Amino acid sequence: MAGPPLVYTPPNYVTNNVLYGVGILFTAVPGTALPSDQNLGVATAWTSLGWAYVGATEAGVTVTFNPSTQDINIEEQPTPVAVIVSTATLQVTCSMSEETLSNVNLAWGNGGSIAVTPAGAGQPGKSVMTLSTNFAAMACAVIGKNQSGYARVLSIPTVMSAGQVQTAYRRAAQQRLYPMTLNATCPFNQISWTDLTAVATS
Amino acid sequence: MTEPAQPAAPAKAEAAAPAPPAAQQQAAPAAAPTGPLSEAEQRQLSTLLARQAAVGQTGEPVRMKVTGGHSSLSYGGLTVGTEFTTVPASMVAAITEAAADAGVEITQES
Repeated sequence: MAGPPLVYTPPNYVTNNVLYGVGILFTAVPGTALPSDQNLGVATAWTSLGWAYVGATEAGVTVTFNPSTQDINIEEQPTPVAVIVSTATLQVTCSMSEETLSNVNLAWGNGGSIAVTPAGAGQPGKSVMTLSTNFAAMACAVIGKNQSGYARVLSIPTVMSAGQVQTAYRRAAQQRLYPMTLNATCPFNQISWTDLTAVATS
Repeated sequence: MTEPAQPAAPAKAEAAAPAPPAAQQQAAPAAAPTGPLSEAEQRQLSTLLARQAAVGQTGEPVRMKVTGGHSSLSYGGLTVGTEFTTVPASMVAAITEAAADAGVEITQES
């Protein structure tokens, strides 16, 4: 006599959880407050608090988490008995398409200063960026839209811009690009994801 | 021998009497919730830690402004204009140095 039938019932997947769409990158002086929960998805709420939008990018914003691990091995077992995180990096990268002095400065380490001279008699208005290798820390936030259509915010309180920047001046092949690499420099427990899930009840 | 016991007696008396509102407020932290932090608490903690990290051990922020022929100086995401602007203490030295490098006159409110 045969036993009960063997059933194959795989779990359901949720297509709504498959997300896509651009990320919006803001930077600010470390310690700058985030907007209130209600306004996390409102651009003007960010800029009014001092956050600066990097603007258009060539290929969006990329977030890279890269832990390096150390295996703890014993002779008696071929697999490690533990895997310990020895170092971990979190990087936010993008190629900025908007060539402003602020963006050039961001890409070049955020160590420069920009002095603005207003137009006057015999004096054209100008902005002069003076470079420096004293890279300044900053805060950054990446905002994307979640499966509910609300804001999902990755907040990194302290990052430093350090990466190779190569800009090609081409007649027509492409726009001038400023690749930026932001490296998290704060403890990991200060980095947070905030996901808005429902509207306030009143 | 009996002297150390004396302060305890008024405390017992206070415990027996109805606690004034101030005492009730002071007792509230003792009943603080335990267990894991809620999402809101985690967020608040992150904000406070970030603020503490930003301020560091360098003290209070100061107010600075640009003088002379320039209208503003931007450094590290912060812009100081011709009106006094609050500068985090951790950035005062750096922005002063940046101003000197750029040939910009900058004044700190005294």
